[in-house]
Amino acid sequence: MKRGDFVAGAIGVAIGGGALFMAADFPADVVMKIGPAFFPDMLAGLFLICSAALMVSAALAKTVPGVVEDPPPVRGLSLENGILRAVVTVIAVIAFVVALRPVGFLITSTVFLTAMMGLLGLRKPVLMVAVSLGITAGVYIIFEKLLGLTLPAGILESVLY
Amino acid sequence: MKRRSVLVGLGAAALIGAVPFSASAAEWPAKPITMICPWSAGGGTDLLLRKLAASLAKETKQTVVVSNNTGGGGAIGHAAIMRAPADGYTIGMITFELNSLPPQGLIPFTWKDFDPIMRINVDAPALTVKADSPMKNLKDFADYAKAHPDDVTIGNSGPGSVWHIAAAMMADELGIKAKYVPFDGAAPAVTALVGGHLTAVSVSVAEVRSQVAGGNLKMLGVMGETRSDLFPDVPTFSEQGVKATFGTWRGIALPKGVPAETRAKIAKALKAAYDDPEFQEFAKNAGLALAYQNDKDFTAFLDKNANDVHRVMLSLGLAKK
Amino acid sequence: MDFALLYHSFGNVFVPSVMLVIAFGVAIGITIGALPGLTATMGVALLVPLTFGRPPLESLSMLLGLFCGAMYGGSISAILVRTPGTPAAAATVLEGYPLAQQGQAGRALAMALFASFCGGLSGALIMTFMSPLISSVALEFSTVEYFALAVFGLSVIVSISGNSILKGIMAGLFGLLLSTIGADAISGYPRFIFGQMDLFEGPPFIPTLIGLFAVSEVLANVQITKQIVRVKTVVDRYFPTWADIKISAVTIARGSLIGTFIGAIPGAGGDIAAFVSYGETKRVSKHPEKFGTGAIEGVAAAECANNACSGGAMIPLLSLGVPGDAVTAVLLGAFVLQGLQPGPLLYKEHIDIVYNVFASLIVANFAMLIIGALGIRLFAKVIMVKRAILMPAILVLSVVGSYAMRGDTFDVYVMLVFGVVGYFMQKHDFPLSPILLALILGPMAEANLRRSLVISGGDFSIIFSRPIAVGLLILAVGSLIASVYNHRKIQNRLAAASGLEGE
Repeated sequence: MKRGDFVAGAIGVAIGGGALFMAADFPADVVMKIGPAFFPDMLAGLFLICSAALMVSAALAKTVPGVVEDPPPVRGLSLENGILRAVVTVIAVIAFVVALRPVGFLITSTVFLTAMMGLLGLRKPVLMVAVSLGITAGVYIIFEKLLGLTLPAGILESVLY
Repeated sequence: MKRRSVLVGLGAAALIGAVPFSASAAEWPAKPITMICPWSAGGGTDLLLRKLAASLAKETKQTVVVSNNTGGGGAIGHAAIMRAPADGYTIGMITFELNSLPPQGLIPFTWKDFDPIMRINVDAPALTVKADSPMKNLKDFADYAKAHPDDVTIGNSGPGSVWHIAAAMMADELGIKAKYVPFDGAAPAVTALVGGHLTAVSVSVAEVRSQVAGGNLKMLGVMGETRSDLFPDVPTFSEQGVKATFGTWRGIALPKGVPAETRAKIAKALKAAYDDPEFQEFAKNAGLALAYQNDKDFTAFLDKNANDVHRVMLSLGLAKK
Repeated sequence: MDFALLYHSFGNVFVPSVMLVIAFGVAIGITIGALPGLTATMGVALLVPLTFGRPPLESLSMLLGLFCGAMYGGSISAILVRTPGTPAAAATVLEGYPLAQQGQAGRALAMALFASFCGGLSGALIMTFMSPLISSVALEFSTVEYFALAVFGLSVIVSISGNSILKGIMAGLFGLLLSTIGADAISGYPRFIFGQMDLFEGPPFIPTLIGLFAVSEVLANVQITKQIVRVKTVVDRYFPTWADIKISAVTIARGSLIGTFIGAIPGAGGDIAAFVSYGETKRVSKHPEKFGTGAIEGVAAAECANNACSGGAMIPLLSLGVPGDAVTAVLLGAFVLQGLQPGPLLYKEHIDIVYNVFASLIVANFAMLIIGALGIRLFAKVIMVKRAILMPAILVLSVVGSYAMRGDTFDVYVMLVFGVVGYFMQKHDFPLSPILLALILGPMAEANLRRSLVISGGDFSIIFSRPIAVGLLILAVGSLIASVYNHRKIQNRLAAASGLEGE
């Protein structure tokens, strides 16, 4: 039994089934038999079959003895816990995006970069802030000044323009 | 290190300067202006707006920022304009899709939820066929279509798009049946016609311009109120006895609620930007048919256009109700 | 072909002001190409306003330089941080990143540059000498041929499936299903959008790409606790070794032809060309088992094809006035702003401009070679940057790159979702590239099949009425069978090899 593949197959079956279910409501084309539902139906059907095949083969697969699938991970609320760090990273990006418009790119980006460097184990505050400011300024110059794409100014609006 | 202290200084200044100040009509524009473009950066609408924004900046001596809020076939950007603060510092570009999205049930608002300021351009479609086709005018086309009812294909720029509606209007007025083939934009439709894979296309004069000038395609008629400046030899539909005019348009609008005094100031500044020779030259080079209208005329135009579009979309089965 | 005029055009280009703008264009292009989220198309589009009011030769030369540079630039981030800087560099990741991980970033970068140059130059030369012939073939492509071409492209999925064909096909089907999200290309009916108008035009492509590749890699990287012994990267060269060139020579020749031709077909661009070239190279290789673990020919195949595309895409633009890909569609606008109408008329009235474009594109490729070579040492330094700095920097670039195009935070969330999806897929040995290929080719296949059926009135026999389409479909089936056979061979060899190691 390969657990990862079994779960992946199950998710695939769910997605395929869900797509088939939703596509049933698509309107039929007046002129032809092939309407908006034709491709989604076909693809979702094939996807469902492949996913089911993966589930079956995963269920039948023998676990190779002596092979540990993952090294024993560090658990608990510590920065040594890799999974936790990945989760924190995702949350940090969400926070970055939420703050982007109201606070503005320059501040949000600098804070985000510094915080992420801290999360990844850097412990030199001056270097962290300096590098963060440098990266932020570089991105800002390329996007705003060179290409004319607007990044949110946020609370710095009255200063920047 | 120097750069850092400068930025820290800037940050501190920002906190002090961020105190909101109210701008009354008398001093508009007292701060930077944002113009919302409902289409993506680098496209035709975007280029036009950026040029207008540059002229507006020159006129008002203020920074004018163009912000692209795109997606949903224009729905996202138009919604963003509607919801923008009504302080006169967010100005939006509205396009034809504002009238074709509501009948499809894709946006819950209409042009009536905006304050139209001015119309910029109207580009008319043309019925265009291969240059070596024996057809010479709309009547020939109608005759051919009646003789070959299953063979006539007219390419357009997308389902429910302005040129799809144009094709349906043409067919309706000519009393013929045709298959409308939607492409992903006008260019691939034109290419397919050049390759001989379609009977005709119903896209704008500007979009077939180079192929017509190059001798690959020819126009049987333009659907504008007047002949095109680019091809003054091609007669309009009306001249050929087919009473139909149509076209895509672009204009400027404000969210509802901007004080009338400010609105007048904005309209005046925009008209001056529109009259800027630099802007005029740009539009001419891009092949755009400039067609200024003031707020009142533009409002009347929008009303008629919305009704026309709705009616045709109903007949095409594209409108929900 | 007017050689005197061509000679004269080189004279026009070899003046300081033009050479300078070409160099400027190339340098900006490489930067834009290397940054995730900024594509060649966007770079050209955003710099078009800069050229307004300048002389045509200077404006067009700069944009052509940018085009060249950006096509190459995409490979830098693909090799160093597994993030294709442009969609066209997605196939470069497959071999380039494994090479970088083995400390051979310099070798991969040098090959990417060399192959880009060879491909770009071949494309430019073919454009110069064979434009009329190729553009007449390109015009033969009707909706039926586009459908067949998309099917042929999809057959490459088996080649890029990695260890399990089943998982590769699942990834491909997943991508195809994703590509049906949004307004239906024929009826306009919005499918699977869950009431989100942001999805009306389908899942935003660039954020999806950035999420799948860049963000998923960052999520895997932040989990590594111990400072692993850093891969020692020696960058001691600007050019590939003679041995590497010998291995890749045939690949580069084939990739250049594939790239130029696919580029010349309106609507098919560098991303498709790179994958097709990669798939073909792997299929005919004597040691296909090395692919996926850092085969230098794989880098060459992808990079020469996507650069050859630039020359190819210019062919229909100049001779027909029809852009060959997304970048040339923007270039069309730049021509028009100069008061020039590409197409038959340009050949009649401004043949000098046409030849100047030939000369500039050829020169731009040389400029790319020189500037790229000077930059290699600098680029390769990226890999030496501490992970604690590099990962946050990639995240910021990913967020900004996803956000800037539409100014929409929705796109950044899309990026994040695909980052998480990509992370789990990667962890369970699902290949990611098939999703990308499917997202590019799915809409092309579906829309063109259904367009064909609109034209034929629902009659399927239209597909078999056209010889080029039938030929492409037979090729697709042939390539599929060959790839499956090839996959068996690879599995057997790998099994034999691990057996030997075990003893």
